[in-house]
Amino acid sequence: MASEHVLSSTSENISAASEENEKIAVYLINGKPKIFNAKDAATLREYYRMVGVLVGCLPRNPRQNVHLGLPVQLMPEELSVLLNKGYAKLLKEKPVGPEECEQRIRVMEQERKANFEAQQQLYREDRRQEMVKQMSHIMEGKKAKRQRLLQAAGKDTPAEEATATIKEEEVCLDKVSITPTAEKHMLQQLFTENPWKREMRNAEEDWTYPTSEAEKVRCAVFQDLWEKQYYLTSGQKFGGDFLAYPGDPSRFHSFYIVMCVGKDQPLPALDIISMGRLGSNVRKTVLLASLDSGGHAQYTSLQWTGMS
Amino acid sequence: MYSNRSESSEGSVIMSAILSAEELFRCRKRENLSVPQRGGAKDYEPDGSWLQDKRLEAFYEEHQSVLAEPRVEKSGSLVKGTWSSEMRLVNLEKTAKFWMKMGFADQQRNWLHPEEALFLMEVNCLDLRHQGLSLSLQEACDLLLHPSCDISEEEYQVYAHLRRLGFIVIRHAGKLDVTSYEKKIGLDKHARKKTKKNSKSKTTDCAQTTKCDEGNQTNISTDTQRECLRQAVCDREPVSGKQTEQGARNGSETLLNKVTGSKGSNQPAQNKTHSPLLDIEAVHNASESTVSEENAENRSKADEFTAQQNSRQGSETKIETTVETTRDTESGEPPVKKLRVENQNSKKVRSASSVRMPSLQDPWSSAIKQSLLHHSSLGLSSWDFSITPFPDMGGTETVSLPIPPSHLLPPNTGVDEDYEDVCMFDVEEYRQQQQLQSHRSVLNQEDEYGHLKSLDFSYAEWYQKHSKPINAKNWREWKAELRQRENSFIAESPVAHLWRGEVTPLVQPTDATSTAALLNKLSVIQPFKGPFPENPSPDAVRICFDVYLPNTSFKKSSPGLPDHRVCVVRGDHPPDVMEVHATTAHLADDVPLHWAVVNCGEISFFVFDDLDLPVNPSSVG
Repeated sequence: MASEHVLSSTSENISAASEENEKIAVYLINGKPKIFNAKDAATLREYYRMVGVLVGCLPRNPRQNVHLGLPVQLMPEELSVLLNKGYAKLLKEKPVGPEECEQRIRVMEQERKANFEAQQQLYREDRRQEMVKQMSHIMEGKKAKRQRLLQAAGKDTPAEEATATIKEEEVCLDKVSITPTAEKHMLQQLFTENPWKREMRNAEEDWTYPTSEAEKVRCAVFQDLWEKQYYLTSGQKFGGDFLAYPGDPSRFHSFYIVMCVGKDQPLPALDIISMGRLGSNVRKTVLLASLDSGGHAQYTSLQWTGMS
Repeated sequence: MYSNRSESSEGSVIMSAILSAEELFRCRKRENLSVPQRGGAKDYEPDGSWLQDKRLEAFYEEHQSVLAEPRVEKSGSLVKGTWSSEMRLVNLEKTAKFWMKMGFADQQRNWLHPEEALFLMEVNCLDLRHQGLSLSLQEACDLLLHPSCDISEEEYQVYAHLRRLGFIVIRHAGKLDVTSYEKKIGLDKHARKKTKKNSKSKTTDCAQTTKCDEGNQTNISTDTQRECLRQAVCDREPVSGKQTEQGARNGSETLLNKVTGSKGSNQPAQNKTHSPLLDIEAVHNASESTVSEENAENRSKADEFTAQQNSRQGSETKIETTVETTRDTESGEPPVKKLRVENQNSKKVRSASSVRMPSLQDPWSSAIKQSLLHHSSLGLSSWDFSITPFPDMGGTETVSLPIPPSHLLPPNTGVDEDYEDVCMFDVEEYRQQQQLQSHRSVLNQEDEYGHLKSLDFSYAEWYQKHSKPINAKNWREWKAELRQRENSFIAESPVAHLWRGEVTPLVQPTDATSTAALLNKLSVIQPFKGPFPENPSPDAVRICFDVYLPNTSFKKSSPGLPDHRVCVVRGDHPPDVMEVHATTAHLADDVPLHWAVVNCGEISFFVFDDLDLPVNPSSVG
């Protein structure tokens, strides 16, 4: 297969990431492993070839389902492999004590106040620049107004004189008072990831994932295929356990629909037929994966043939 | 693009991802709101080419930059809310546009369900605080989708998915007793008003289970429950404990029990999660038993009535009757009378000066009064028909009706002295009208379905057309005549001898009303209508959401029948076929029930359609 290039580059990356000793922070939230950091999500996909599923709203356009945003939810198999390999740390939040809470409130208030003041300045600056940009229009307006006032007063002064007086005013733009922007226009950041520096509990003991026999098969098969440089996603779309992609799922179609079966599990003929039908209909190979007695993954592919 | 800044006066506390004012200001105007394209044309397999690498790199770059974009919103357009861990709800300070479609209010407080609050956070509408501190999305997920809240991770994902698509999604409101006809004419919108009260009572349930021992709050909540109870019984008068006890009925009894039970404020926590469902059931029971409703209504009327009578006894010529009373009492009478009396009145009504005072010996009022007294002592039936006089309309041309008591008439009208003439009811004319009306309605129906009816043959219709109308004086005669005719018809048939002996064919010619009826009679195909439990057990599949199409006239207080219902199922816990059937059959209206299967964040929707297999008539012969 032509994945040698990919292989060498990714293994380099993996070692680089490990050297940084920056494990991906996976948070166990109500039993679901999730990543809230965009950088971690990118590392996961680019270095560790794991896709996960985006489950949140995309900040720039939240009301659509085409492209979702953070957090990334991991499949339990993905997390198990990440933990096995030591690429990720599984964390759980600790409850916040009252003193710490007070401190945070203080800091947050302070930060917000300073930020708003800085923004006030920026708004002022912005308004000034806008005025400079629109100066010609402003001048015209002023001229017209002056003319109107003079006419109303009955004085018939020549236009040049009027403009001359305005030009003096134009010089002192700083004197023009800019009304401060109301607080409701101040921008506020809404945090996706918990922004506080805090102590967290290691939740790796809570993660007991492969417990049943079927789960153990799934986990072993996932790890084996992942080690063989495949990208794996959930096979729900096609009724299998996983879909195996030769490269990043955004650029390539999946090759295999992986079905995990126990090695002693009987395989009804009707199931084989439906799997064969499925595979040939969607132009993918159905891969029957099981573990041998040594715990190594064994694969059988299913092909729909007609003999004539 | 967005640098991390960790310096601060107490810098040790804030970790990262805090944007400076400049960066925030830059986000003020988002130029690019487009959604990145997904993929495009995919390649077959990686070939290590430069082009492929470049494409992948570009994808990664865009992907990461889009994900890393911070959420920034003007503080004026954010609504502030606080998480109440006792209620497991979000309390809003003030509401915004979204309030049209979500949340609910009790007393002076506005509440959001956890899923609603979390979604609003995701779409930059809500600044949620807990212990005085603004929460990040991560903390909010942890807090709001905690197992102790009544919404699971999967359910939230389905909720958010549907909301992102623009649907209006509210929590499932239970079974609605709305017929398709009622839905067509929009009556269902009114029927739903009760469920709003239920969401209120849910919060009060919560309030009580939290054992907030502030006497004030408990008072409020009992009041709301009373309110709810009152609504359910449909009583116009304030409900006193006595009155409700009198009405020994299912619906109000359970509700009452709830009130008294929860007064102890010691409801088990387990009860809490299911109570909204129970509540709805109870209310439905109450509203279903129309007899009991009438009962309560009439009892109040009886009081009203006797009070009026009393006041009248002592006093003078001025008669005060409300239109309402007239209408109500009349509705209890046979419709025939009502129609005619009104008609005649409109002809012969005179000015109020010529009012004739009704005496208490007046047969109408005394009878009504008697029956009311009778019923209120028993508390069972609203009308005793053995006492109420009904006119005998059979075989006569006119019926003389007793004069209606003047308090039943519209105000400022009266019946003239020669009421004998007024209360003559022309039976013949009435009959003619009835016939005309029924004829007209039949004609209309035929117009509408004529093209369909010509297509299928029905023996019953054919028989009706080809036989003369039966003349009979009463029901028994009519039946006898009909039987005779049927027999004679069989005798005419060339195979009539088949039905003469001991052993006869399974079907009669008269059974052949349609193919389906015949097959049904022969029990060839029995549609599966299994016995389903009326109240599914708590761990059975729960319908989560009612979904409405985007609609500007949507009212959350009376949303009417939903357009879809959604049941959330985890990929590893599929329901069995019986559960699927039971859930569908329990609701028994034609709202499609979607099954959302959630597996590690991926959602797929399914619908199970109940299918009665059509019979191929040619094969049956």
